[in-house]
Amino acid sequence: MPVVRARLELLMKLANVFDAEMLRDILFKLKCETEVEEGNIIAVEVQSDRVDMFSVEGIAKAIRFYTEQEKFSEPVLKNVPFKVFVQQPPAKRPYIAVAAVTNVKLDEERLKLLIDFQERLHATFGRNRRKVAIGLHDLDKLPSPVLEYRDVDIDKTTMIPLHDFREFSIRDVLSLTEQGKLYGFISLNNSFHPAILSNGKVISLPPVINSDITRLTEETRNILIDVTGTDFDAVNSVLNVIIHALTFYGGEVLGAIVKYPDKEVTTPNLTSKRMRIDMGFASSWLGIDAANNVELVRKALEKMGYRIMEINKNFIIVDVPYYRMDILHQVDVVEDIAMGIGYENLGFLDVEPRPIIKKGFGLRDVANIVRDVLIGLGYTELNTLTLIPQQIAEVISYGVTPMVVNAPSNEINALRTSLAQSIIAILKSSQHIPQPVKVFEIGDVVTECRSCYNKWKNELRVCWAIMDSETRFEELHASLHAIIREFGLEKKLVLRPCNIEFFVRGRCAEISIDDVVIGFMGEISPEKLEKLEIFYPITLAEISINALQTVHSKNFG
Amino acid sequence: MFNSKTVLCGVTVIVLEAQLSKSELDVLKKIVELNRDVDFGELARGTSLSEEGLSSIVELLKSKGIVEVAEKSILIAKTSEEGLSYLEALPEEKVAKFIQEHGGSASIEEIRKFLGEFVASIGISWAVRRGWIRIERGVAKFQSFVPLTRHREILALFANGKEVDESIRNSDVFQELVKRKLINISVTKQRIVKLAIPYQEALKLVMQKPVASKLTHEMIASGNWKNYVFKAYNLEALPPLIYPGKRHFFKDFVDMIRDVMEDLGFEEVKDDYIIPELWNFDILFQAQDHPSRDIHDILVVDGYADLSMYSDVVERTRRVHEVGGFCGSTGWRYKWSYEKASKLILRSHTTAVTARYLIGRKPPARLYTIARVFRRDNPDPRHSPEFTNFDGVIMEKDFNFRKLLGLLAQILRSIGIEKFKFKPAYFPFTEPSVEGYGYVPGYGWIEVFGAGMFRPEVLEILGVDAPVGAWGMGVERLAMVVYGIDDIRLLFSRDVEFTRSFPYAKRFYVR
Repeated sequence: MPVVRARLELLMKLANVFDAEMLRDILFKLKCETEVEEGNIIAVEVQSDRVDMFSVEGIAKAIRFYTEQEKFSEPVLKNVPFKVFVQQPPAKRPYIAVAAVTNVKLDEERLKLLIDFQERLHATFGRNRRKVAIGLHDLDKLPSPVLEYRDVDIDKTTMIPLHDFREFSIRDVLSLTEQGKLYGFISLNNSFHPAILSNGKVISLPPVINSDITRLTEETRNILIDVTGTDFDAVNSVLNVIIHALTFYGGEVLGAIVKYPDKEVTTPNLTSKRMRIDMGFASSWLGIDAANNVELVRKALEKMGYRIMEINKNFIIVDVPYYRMDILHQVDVVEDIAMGIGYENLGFLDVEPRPIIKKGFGLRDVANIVRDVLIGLGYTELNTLTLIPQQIAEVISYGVTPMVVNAPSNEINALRTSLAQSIIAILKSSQHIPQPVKVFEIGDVVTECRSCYNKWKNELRVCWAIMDSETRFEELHASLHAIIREFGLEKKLVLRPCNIEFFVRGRCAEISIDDVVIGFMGEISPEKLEKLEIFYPITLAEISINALQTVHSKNFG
Repeated sequence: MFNSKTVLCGVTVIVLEAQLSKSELDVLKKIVELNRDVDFGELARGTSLSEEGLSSIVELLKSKGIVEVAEKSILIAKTSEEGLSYLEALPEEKVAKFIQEHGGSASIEEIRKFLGEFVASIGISWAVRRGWIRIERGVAKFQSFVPLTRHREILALFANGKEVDESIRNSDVFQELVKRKLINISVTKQRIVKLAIPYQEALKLVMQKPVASKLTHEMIASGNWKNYVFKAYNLEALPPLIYPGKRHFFKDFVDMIRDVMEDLGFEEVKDDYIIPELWNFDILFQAQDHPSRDIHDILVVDGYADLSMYSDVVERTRRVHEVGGFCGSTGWRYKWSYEKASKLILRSHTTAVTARYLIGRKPPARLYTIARVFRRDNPDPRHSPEFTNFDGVIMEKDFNFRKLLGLLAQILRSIGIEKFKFKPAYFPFTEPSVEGYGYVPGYGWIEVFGAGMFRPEVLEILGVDAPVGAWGMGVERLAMVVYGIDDIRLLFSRDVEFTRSFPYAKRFYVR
C-alpha cells in the first residue's frame, strides 16, 4: 500500500482538524492506517482504490468532507487555451491529457510533496510509468500553448534535460541520464521515442524525463500538467486526481483540446459521473433499512464527497466526483454509504448456526489416525515448506520436479515431489541434537499429472524417519505395521523389494495393499548422505494418505 | 547411605547400615572367617573370584570404610640350580676336605682332576679367601676348615622359593649367597586386606541381607525376594532426557481454527497448489494488469492450463472483465487475455480455492480452507515465501454486510479475541471491504483478517445469484503474536529442538 508522509502540523492545517487522535480516527474510518513517526511526521497508508488520496491535499479534502466542513463541488474549467496535436499517436504510448492549474503557491515543502505525489502515482497506478506517466511544468516558462505529441527521431532531435543546461540528442538522454536508463526502454520504438513539443522545443520526453526549460521551482505559480499513457481512461483519471490536489488552494483550471486523427477530446473532463443507486439494493447488500433512513444515507454520502441530486425511498441519484476512479458499479457507492455511516455504527446481525452431520471417513480422518499413531510412538511432528532447493531434489530424486521459474533464491526454487526431501533437509540441520531424532510430517507434495488440466496435482502424504547412530529398519518396519493395523489392513500389507535409487540397494521396500502401491520405506544410501553432508544413518518411510484412504474405503465401504 | 548412629566409649564409631550386595557380603564373610589380615591371592582363591573381580569388590568395601588395603613389597628368594647342587657341600668345603684327606696337601691339578674344573676353581679361590688353604708353587696346603652349615641351611631353606624375612635378609651369609648367585632374589608387591572396622561390627554386617537394585520376576516367582533388601533410590539425580512424541504447535493452532469453523457449520475444501491465474485472479475480477499479478509478487511455474473444461466460466469472466457483464458494472474495459488467465502459477491466496468451489452452486453454502499459499518473498523474520492462509465464504439468500460483520465477530471471539474493531479496507474482489483488528494482551492491536462482500461482478463470473461474504487471514502472523514468537522461520521446523521443547501448556494462550 502507498504511504503518504507529511508533517502532522501541515496535514492538520490543511484538514482543519487539530486533534491528532481525532485526525487519526477519521483516517481509520477512511481506510487509512496511520503512524506518527519521529519528527512529528504522520505516515498515512492509503488504499490503492482511493488514488485521489495519494496526495496530502487529497487526504485533507477527504477529511474535510467527512467532518462536514464542506460539500463537494467541482472546480471550474475557466477556459481552454491549449491545443495538443496528436497527428500520429506514438505507437507505444498513444494517449495524452493536458491541463493547467493557476495560482498554486509552491514552497519547498509543497514542491517536495508534489514530487512525492507524482512518483507515487507513477509507481503504483502508473505501473512504474508503463501505464501512465506525468509531467509537471512551470506554465510561465512554456514556449507556446500549442503542443505537439508524437514520436521523434532520437538521433535527429535534441532537448535540454532536467537540471542541465546543455542540449543532448534524445539518444544520449536515454542512455546517459538515470531516468533514461530506468525508463527509456518502455516507450522506445526502434529509433523513435514519444516527445511533447512546444514551439518546436521538446518540453517533455514521457515517460522518461522533462526538459529543464519548464522546470518547477519554489517560485512557480502556475502549473501545466501532461499525462501520457496506454489507457485513455487511466490517463484522464490521473489528470483529474492531480487537478484535485492542485485546486485545493483555490486557483483556476485551464484545459486543452487534444486532436487525435479520429477525434477531438477536451481535457480535463471535470464532469461528475451521474449514477442511480437502487435503495433496495443498498438495503439488502448492507443489511440496513435504507428506505426508512433516507436522511442518514444522504448525510453518509455527502460525508464521502458525493453530491446528492435526488434521494427517496426507492433510489438515489448521485454525482460521483470527477476525481474518483474506483466507482465501477453501484456497489462502490454502497460501500461509501457504509463508510459514511461508520462501520462501528452499523452493528452486527447474527448468523444462524447450521450444524452439519459429518458423513464418511474423509482424508483428514485418515491423516488424524496416522498422526495419533506416530505421536504415540514418540515421533515429533514437523511443519516444513513445500518449497525446496532444487539441489535436494537432485540428490533425493523422485519423479519430475516442478521448478519455480522466478524464485527469489536457490533455496526455494523447486517444489517437493516427496516429503522425504523436506524431512531429510531438516535432519541435515539436526545432527547435533540428542539422538535418536524421530520425526514425521503429514503434508502435500506436488506430482506431475500430464492428463490433469493444470499438469501438476497435489497429493497428501505422511513421511516418518529416524536418524540415529545406526539404522533402525526394524523399528520403522514395526511402526508401519502399527499404523496399518489401525486401519484393519495389516493382513493385506505386502512389502516388495523396491528400486528407488536414494535407498540402499536391497534395503528398501515398496509398500502395497491390495496390489496398490501406497508407499515406500528404506535406509537412505550413504552415498546420498555423504553428498548432503549428513553423517548419521536415516531410515525413512513415506505413504500416500490419498492412496490409503482409497484402499480403506474399498475394503470397508 | 550411611547413618551415623552411636558414640561408643568416647570414640565415635560410624555404625554402618551399609547396603552391601551379595558379592560384597561373600568377600567380607571370608575375611571375617579367617579373622586375620589376608593377602589378595589367598582371598581370591578362598572366594573363587578372579583377582580382577575381587579387586573391584574390595574397592567398594574400601570406599565404604569396611576394609583397608595395605600394600607391601616383599622379597622372595629362591635357590638357584647351582645353589641346589651345593646342598651337601659347597665347593670350598669339598676342596678343603679333599686336601685334608690327601695328607694335608695336594696339587691344583690333582684337585681339578678329582672335583672337576668348575667346582675346583671356585672351591680353591673361596678356600683361599677363607684362609683354609695356602697355595705354594701349584700346591695347596691345608690350614683349617669350618663347615659352612649355616650356608647350607639357608640354601635348603630357599630351595622352593620363599619370602625372606628381615633377619636373614640382613645376614652376611645370605648376602654372600646372593652375590655368588646361589640364591636369586626378586621383589613383589603384596596386597593385604584387613578389616577397618572392629571385628564385632564386621560380624554384624555379614549377618545382613544382601541388597538388590531391581526386583525381578525370578525373585518373586522363587520367593527369593525375601532374602534381599532393596536399594534406596537416589532422588536427587536427574533421569535421562526423553521427549514425548509431540504434535506440532502450529498444526494444533490450525486444528483449533478448523474446529471453530466446523462448529459454525463450515465444510472444508481443498485444491492443488499449482493453478491457472483464472482461479487466483480472474474469477475474482482482478484486472489482468493489476500490480499484485506482477511477476515480482507471485511465484510462477512453466506452462499453461488446459481450460477447455471450464469454457462457461471463461466466457463469463471475459464478458465481465471487458464490458462489465450484465450486473451493471463498467468492467475494466480492456481486452481480456485467455492466455494470461491460463498461465500456471503457485496460488497466492486461498480465496482462489473457496471461490472456485462456489462456481455454479446454489445457496446455502458455507466453505472454508486452511492451506498453504505462495508469494515471491525472500525468507526473513517477518516473511516466508510459503505460508498458511485461512479463507472462508458464506453464501446465503439474504446474506449482507452486517451479517458478515456478525460472523466475523463470532469467529474472533471463538479464537479467543474479545476486543476487536473493524476498519474500512480495499480488496479488488469485495465491496464493501473490511479489515478486522484484534487486541492481543501483551502485544497490542494486530490486523487479523481481511473480509468483504464479493462484488456483483464476481458473483456473475461465478454464476451464483445469492450474496457471498468472504474473509481471509494469514495464520502464521496470528500464531506468532499469540505464542510470542518473533521469527516466522521458527514455525517451519528449521530447529527440531525448538519444536520438541515447545511446552504443550504454552498453547493455551488467550483462551
